[in-house]
Amino acid sequence: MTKPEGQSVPKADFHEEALPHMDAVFRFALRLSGSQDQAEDLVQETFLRAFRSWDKYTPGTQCKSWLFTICRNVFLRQRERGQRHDEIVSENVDRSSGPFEVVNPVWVKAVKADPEGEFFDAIVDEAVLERIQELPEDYRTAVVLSDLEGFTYQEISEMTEVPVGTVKSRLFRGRRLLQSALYDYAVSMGYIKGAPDEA
Amino acid sequence: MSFFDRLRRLLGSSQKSRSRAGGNGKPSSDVDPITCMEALERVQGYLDGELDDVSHEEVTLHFSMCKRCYPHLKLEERFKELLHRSTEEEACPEHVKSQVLELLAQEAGKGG
Repeated sequence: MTKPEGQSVPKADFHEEALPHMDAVFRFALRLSGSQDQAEDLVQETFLRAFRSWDKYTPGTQCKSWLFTICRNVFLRQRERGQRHDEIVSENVDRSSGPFEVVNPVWVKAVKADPEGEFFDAIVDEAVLERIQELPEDYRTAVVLSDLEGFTYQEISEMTEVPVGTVKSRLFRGRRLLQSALYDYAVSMGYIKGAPDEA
Repeated sequence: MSFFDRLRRLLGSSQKSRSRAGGNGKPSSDVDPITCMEALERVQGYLDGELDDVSHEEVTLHFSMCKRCYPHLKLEERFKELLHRSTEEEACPEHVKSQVLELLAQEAGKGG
């Protein structure tokens, strides 16, 4: 039953509304942390915290994005505890100050050898996930939330508490890094012929 | 003059004539032509479904006409499909689901 917005939700509804998102929260936790063990801990902590603050959840809003926000906050807090502040700052420093090329240099190379992008079919899931894991955390989060989980720019902006423009920038740059890494992988595996200057 | 500047000039004239002549229903004949640079700048927003209707139509028109840009759209699309495909099968392990349920039961018991 749908409840009017602004009204708190009885705890009994938690199981019905929140638990169906456990697979998605686990995937997100796995992408954030890169570790199965840590992802399992994150899922437990996320649902426990969500249950405790269920009265703060606004009925009618997206439960999945609310859970992802909690999951990310738990992850960032855990990471802060295990990492020095200057390390976090240097990892998350905005690398978007320089100009970017509108024409994707990776696609310029790929188009010559495989304009239909058939090499993508040969790339195994593990290779993709490993390279997502290598992205800086802020880019990784944006790419995972958009491309893997299908959230809108506005939703990602609210979840990560940055302006929509920053979300777009992180997505753009994160995807470019990932595209370059996957192209290099495909060339190294012989799935696509490298450009002449790479031979 | 760069390749894209030359292409922009060429496309500018050919797209205008097509636009005036009216399309075949898709995309709308009312949209203004855009340059290759403008189309490529918007390609991610286009595939993410984040453009407004007019902008979406403009990009659709451009990619439907520009053989040079079309492969870039195709590759970007294949890339997004690959990312989506890579996690389709992942599910939370059953033992974690059981642990969560147990934790919630304990918590509910505490709070009353």
